[in-house]
Amino acid sequence: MKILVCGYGNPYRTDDGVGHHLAPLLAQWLGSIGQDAGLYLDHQLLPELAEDLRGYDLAVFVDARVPSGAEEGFHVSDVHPERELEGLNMHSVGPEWILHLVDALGAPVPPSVLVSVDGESFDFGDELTPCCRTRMDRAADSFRRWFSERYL
Amino acid sequence: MENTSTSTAVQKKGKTIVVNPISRIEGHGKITVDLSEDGAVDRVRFHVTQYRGFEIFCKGRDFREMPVITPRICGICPVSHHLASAKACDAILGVTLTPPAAKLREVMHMGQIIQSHALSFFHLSSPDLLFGFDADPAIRNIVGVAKEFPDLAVMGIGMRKFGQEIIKTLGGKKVHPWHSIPGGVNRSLRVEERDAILADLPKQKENLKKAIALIKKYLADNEELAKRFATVETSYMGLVKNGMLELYDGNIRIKSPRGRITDEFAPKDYCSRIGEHVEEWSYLKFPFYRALGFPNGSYRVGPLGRVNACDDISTPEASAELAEFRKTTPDGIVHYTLYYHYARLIETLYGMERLEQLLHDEDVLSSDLRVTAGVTNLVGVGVIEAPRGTLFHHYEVNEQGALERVNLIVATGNNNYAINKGMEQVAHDYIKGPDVKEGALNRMEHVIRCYDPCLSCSTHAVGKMPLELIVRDSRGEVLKTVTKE
Repeated sequence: MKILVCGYGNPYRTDDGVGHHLAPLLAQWLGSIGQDAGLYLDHQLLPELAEDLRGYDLAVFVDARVPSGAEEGFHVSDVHPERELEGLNMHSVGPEWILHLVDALGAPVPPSVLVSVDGESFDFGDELTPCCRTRMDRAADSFRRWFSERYL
Repeated sequence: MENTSTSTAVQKKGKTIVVNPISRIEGHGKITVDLSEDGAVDRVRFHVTQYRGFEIFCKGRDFREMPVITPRICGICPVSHHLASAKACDAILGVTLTPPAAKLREVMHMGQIIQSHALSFFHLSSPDLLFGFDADPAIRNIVGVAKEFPDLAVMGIGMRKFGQEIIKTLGGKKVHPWHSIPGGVNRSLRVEERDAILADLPKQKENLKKAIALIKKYLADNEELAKRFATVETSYMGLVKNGMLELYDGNIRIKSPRGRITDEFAPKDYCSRIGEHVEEWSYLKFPFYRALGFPNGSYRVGPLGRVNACDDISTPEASAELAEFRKTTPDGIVHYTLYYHYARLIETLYGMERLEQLLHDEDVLSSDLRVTAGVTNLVGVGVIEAPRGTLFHHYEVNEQGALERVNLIVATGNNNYAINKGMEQVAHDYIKGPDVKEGALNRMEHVIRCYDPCLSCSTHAVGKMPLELIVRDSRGEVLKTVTKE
């Protein structure tokens, strides 16, 4: 199964960079169980990613989110093409918009999942807070279960 | 990718219009339209309302840090700030770069020109040109282009990616790369990296020629609009080397509206030639050519400024296209603002041809990358042609290298006067009274898109900025506010 794991966020704003930590872990795990996993890391999602997603069977988006108040501190959910969620802003397109662009380009939209991890701090810094790191580990476990149940 | 909510509300019967935010530009601002008593447009102002102050908070830092700090001004053209800053640092060190270092910087710069121009044309401006200014905003965006013109959308996405990959190859990442250092660069290209870029180049050039054909057809099919839309007669400014278009180095040339060379000077002398006018209603300054004063000395930069300022282009295919471009007017000087798009694509063609020349030079594989020195000069000026126009970094340091003064003149600022005048002309044509149609707003936004400004850059503002359009009556009371989030 060909999978692209996309981690994004600002690695110099503490927990906003959790995607840069978690996405490689997930890609590595997927590779270890025999999946053909690719890795995309960037500050933000860009329209070019829509072209990169051609030919993938699954897209995994990994991002930080502002504290949600949810007990688990993370969320794993399916994402679908959505054009209305984003306006014009090259700075902040989301996975739903990217998938919409994939569709508009006439390519098959891969099934997609978003792993969001609650950040604790978005201040300057290139290390995750202990709290966010714990949530990240839990999110990784949750993703592994989700993937195993759905695809293995 | 049109911004989502466009809210319009007539606040009072009378006469003022504000557009806020302007979308599909990098950063946002505000437009105020003042109406006279009879409801006609009296005055239009394009305000930039954010302020960041890089020139202030960089004081006291070591100048060598600036090539890493200043690219944070912008996520779209960080390479331009990176290179202009490195050039200013070279001047403080008093060094001349090794040929490999200079060529490698130019390779990255061509990657930046290609990716930024592709973003401007394909992602931001083509929706207006393909669907029309009055089309439904829901389809008048890059996704609409992808649906209706998928080949063009793929071309644009691929071209931008091509430029970004060059930046990433040399600088480690697409945004905020780190490659230039004071006195040189920190790496060269590997053979396989160079070959990969060269392998993709013919396809990109072929696609670019299709885009050039498209803009030429648009301008021919819409001749009347193209010649009238936001047209303003100004002087033009750009770097030239032996008279030829130059994007990395060279002298600054100013050409008059009639095509006469008004002045040509070394970048270090810019202070004696360029002044900055300030208006209380905008944080964006108004640069002007001192000898002519403000506003007569206002000039335009960026693609149209550069192709008007130069004698010719040194690469054959771009030169031939420039010759075609100049047939537009009897004297070869093109004042038509919509022709910015055509000029932008000609420059992209030059960027690809120049890139090819550089990559066939073995120097780009060399390890002779850096010249070291201490503080030799207390002043350093670095000037480069950013995609949006001439970019100035001017540093003054003490003997230890601590910054005592920083002055940045960013490309968008150079076009400030022309943007305001162009918008005023469009408002006169399309706004009568407070009932502003969406198509009129979009035309005003497109004036700004022609210049492809980066308002974040020019004011050093943070992240995304909304833009609003406000209509006011002759007593200054707000009649209508249009806000795009």
